[in-house]
Amino acid sequence: MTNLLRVLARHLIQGVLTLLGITVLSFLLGHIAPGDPAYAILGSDGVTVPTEEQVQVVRESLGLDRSVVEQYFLWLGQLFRGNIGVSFMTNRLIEQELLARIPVTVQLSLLAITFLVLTSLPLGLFLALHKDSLLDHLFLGLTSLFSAVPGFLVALVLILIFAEGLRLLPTSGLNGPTSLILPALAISLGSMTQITRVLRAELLAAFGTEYFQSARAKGFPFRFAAVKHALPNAMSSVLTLWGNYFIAILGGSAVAESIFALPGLGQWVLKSINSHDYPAIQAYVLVMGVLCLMIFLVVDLLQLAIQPRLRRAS
Amino acid sequence: MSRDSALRIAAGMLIAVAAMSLLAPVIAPASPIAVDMSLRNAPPSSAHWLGTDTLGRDVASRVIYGGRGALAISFGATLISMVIGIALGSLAGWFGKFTDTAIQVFMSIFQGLPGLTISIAIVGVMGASNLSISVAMVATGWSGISRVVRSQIRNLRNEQFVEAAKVYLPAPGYLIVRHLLPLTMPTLVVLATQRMGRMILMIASLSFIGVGLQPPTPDWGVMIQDGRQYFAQQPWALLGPAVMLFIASFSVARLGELLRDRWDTFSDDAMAVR
Amino acid sequence: MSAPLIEFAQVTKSFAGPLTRSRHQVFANVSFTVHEGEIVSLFGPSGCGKSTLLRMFYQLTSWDSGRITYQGTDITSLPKSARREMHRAVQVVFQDPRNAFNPRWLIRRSMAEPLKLFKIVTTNHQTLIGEKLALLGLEDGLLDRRPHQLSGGQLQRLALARCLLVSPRCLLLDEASSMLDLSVQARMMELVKSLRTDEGISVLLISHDRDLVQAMSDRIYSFHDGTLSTDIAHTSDSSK
Repeated sequence: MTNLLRVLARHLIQGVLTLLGITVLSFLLGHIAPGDPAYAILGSDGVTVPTEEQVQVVRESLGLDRSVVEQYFLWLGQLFRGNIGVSFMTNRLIEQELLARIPVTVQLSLLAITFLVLTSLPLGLFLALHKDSLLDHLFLGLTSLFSAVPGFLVALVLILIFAEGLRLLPTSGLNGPTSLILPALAISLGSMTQITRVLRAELLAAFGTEYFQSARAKGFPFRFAAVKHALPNAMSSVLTLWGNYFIAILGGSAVAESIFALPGLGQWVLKSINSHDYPAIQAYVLVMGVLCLMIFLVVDLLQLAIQPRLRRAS
Repeated sequence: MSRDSALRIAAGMLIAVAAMSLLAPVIAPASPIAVDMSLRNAPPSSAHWLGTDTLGRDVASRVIYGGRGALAISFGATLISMVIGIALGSLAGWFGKFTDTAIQVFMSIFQGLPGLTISIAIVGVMGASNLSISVAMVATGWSGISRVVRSQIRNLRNEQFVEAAKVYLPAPGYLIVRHLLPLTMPTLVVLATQRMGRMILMIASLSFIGVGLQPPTPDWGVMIQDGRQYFAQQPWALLGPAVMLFIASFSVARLGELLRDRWDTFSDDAMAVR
Repeated sequence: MSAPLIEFAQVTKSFAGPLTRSRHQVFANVSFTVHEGEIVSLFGPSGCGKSTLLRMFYQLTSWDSGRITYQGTDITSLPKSARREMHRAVQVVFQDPRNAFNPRWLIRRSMAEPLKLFKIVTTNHQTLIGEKLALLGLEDGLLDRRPHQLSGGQLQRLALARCLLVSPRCLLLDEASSMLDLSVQARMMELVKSLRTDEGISVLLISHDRDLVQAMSDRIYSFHDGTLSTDIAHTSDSSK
């Protein structure tokens, strides 16, 4: 049992270190941004031209006159106290925006990964069971085609079909859960073929293992053995892959939010970029970092659950 | 279709796209940025084979020019990512212990965030320019390469022929550069191709949402976004660049896939994502 | 008698086992010497760490206690140039011939490697390599092949040929003829003996083949449970 805890602790520590690293990255991003933040804050209404004294006062209050390292720790301290910063644009706390927008992005991404899992799992299983069938060949031929189409093109095609053509699903704004369907589909479609293909390959490999053969020798029918004996072993690599794709989906949600006008993090950061709202961009990186870290931890936990041998500290 | 001919076709397509982009000033029928407000959203004609866009610019010329930025940036950024990835990956894989841990922590920062997020953030704070996009592409690309190189070097460093060579007291770096890295070449070539394909798509996405190449630069991503508004009237303003983008990214991806099948390398599909 | 060419004195090596927390001893208090012009054997079943001793000599791995000397000097305190000289003078054929050469390099390049790295410029490399190949009954055509195209026996002989290129004073042979059929093995051992007789080259032979060891060696050390002892019951086969 202590071994398990040790493994978990190690994962956690790695995660924390990574997160710290991301805070450094986020901080540095704010620093390489051109322009003087003091000016930006004072002149945010676009009208007033601040005087030198006013700028100096603001600079001091922001701690901009201290060394970079000091500033980092000041900023980090603020973070720990829950203060993610003040938006240049709105002069309000970024927290409020985040609280409103994170759920949208998270829901969108969760829906997308659900689509991904729900299609790749049965389809991969089906194709592995019917290897070399017409459908199999068709599928393999199409994978490289589909993976070359960028998400935004898929989104545009979906809009064309569903909005203008069929008028079935909403394509703009957040008006209830159905608004998330098309965007989630757009994000996940490109990855579906790739993952299905990997699952198919892993299953085929699992069919060749001794473990599987002996299960068959014991008399289990092929399909049953495929699900009960081959699938769990194939799941390990696929799980990591799903995790990686989840990360990519989180990133890609920015594009989907832009096209489908969803009020999530992605749309917000794009607006912030336009108004040079650097604290907002910093916060975006931080939030994404935390979300991804959680995904990694969940994947690690699931891996430990399905692969008992990983529970020993190596 | 045999493997070899499929390989040649994919390579041929890629060369064709690259040639088209390189020779754009020579082969484009008109200027890609010449505005003609009298002829907006015109359908294809003998003067304008794909018609014109909302500012009266020749779509065909813009499509021909459209890949230059993305291809040049992805190519350059891939090379730089390779250099950084190989350097850091080798150091981490060869020396192990503290160097390895330090480099891995550094790598994990870039792998712990989605590529698009890093890119949006970098381009966002630096302002959209060829430089910022290149930096963003390198930032998202290097860690995946570093990971593969590290793994290969770790596996190879204990091989007997390496030990045998150590008896000859080679200069530091000789073993890595002369013995080990050449052995990783096939895998790295495949990886580089995959990276470049991903970068082409990422640049298009960034340009599409406005944080990549900027108008009036004729970039396929930008054109697709511009072409949405009057799509019903003039579909070619969007279809032209969309098709070219697809051809470019498909040929690169297919090439990578075929090379991987041929060389039966270490990398798997999981690598393609990150 | 002068100081031995090579001496291992009370060398001990242990490592922590993967599953248990106790330390396993690979060997304890191993001591042996090799004098100029001698053929000495380390005899014992495969896999009891004898190869590790060879790796220690080149400091490819560490040891816990004991001294290893070359010409009377502790190898860890040799200045750089002396160490270079030692590495050149004592050449080794490691155990697995299939992995002795870089799989991607042509044999030609692998063979030339020691000449290049030890910066030996005195003779024409091509002729020298050709000479040594002939000595071991190998044809020149092999130079343009890659390791996977050759047999284990050919690779083993190439490994020995490579050692001879730099005019060593001593050869460390780890199961260096295990893949050769008897007649080829006999030829190789004849060659080794003549090298000792004509050029005074010392040899440390590691083998599990009792007959080979008895036929070749001036002195034999036997490995038992991680310790070395001098095997009294052997017939001394002196110089010719």
